Amino acid sequence: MQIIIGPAQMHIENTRDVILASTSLGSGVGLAAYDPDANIGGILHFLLPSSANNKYRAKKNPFLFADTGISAFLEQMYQHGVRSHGLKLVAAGASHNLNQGTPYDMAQRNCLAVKSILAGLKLTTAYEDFGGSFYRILRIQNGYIYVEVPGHGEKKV
Amino acid sequence: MKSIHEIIIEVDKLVPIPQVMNQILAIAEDPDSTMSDIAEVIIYDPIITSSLIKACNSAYYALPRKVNSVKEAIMLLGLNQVIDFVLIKTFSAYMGKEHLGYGLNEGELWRYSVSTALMARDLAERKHASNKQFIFTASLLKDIGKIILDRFVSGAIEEIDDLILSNNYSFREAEEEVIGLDHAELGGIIAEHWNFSPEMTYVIRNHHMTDLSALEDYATSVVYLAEIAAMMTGIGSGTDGLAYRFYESVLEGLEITEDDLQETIALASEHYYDVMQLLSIT
Ligand SMILES: [Fe+2]
Repeated sequence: MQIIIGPAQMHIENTRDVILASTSLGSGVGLAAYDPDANIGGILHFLLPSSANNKYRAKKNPFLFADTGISAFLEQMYQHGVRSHGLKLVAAGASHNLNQGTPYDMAQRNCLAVKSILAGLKLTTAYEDFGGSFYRILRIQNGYIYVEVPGHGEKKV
Repeated sequence: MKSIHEIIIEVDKLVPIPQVMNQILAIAEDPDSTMSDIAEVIIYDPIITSSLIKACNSAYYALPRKVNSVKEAIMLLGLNQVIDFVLIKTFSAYMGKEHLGYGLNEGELWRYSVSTALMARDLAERKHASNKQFIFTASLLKDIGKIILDRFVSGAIEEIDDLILSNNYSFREAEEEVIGLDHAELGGIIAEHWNFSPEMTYVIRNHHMTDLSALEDYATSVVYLAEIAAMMTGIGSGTDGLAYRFYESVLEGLEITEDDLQETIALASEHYYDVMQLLSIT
């Protein structure tokens, strides 16, 4: 069975018989977490860097934003019995249009947000893949995390 | 170029647009149109009528009483919602197939178009645009050129990718260079073939700002920005990815701040799930 995680969504599952996959990651970021001991995997797919100006919406759906999304995601991972020291993390996405720069570069800010939030939690990623003007898909399957660029292969972590 | 000639032959072979579609487009563009105008058009299309009534009676709307006619549907949902529904439903027949040249599986071009249209609706409402319905419709139709260009992109994708990676082309520019015609220009040709209004044809033709004077055009700017926002969510994405030019001046011209854009992305992507759920039950 395959479970698809769309924009502003999150899913955690025992991945023994289940594949988790994000939809295409645009300027948003996908964060995949996998605990090999418990076989628990999860993918968060957030779109926006900060809930600071949007508390109401974050309350309705924390997974829209990097800050509220990552903390709610990890909290639920821990509730599934996952422990942070064995956790494999992969982050990908933050693609942008051609010649897109500040002040509208949400991709750049999404990328910085995930990096600084994880650093603040003293968590490190096993692999990161950001930027460019193409889409990526994150997938957890048979104990591995994959970052796929459709039509251009994939990286197995 | 040989392929341009072949492409034009494909346009001539394109099935004609259903009559209901052209009538709805005319009504959508006319600010004086009334509820009975639109009901008059829809009742002659039994498929649209039955799916509209089915949608109204679904748990999604949770309406207090049963809807039995198009008029009741318009009264309960409002004119714009009904027009949106009919347009999205009708166009799924054209956009719903797979377009593998663009790396699009079944339904993806259609989902991309719906997502763009929802972004456009939110932007237009935010800016109190007078022609919201026109903007919504144009956003839904803007990539119609892809349904024919797909086959030609398929054979040219390596050359296109190469121009993007090595020569800083946008996907549209690379289509034009390699195939001789890009999907926006071809969309304009199809729009003429289907007798769309000159205004609609202009927006479709310039939705990637081929003619830079379109940067000054209000409706084209909203449609352009809506597509950028849709690309950012990744919904219905293809191999063209985000490889299109970003013009900051569009945001300045429309007075859309970064906070506005974030709000639009947040609202429209939530709304997208609702719309997809509604369409899956009809
Ligand atoms: Fe386009």
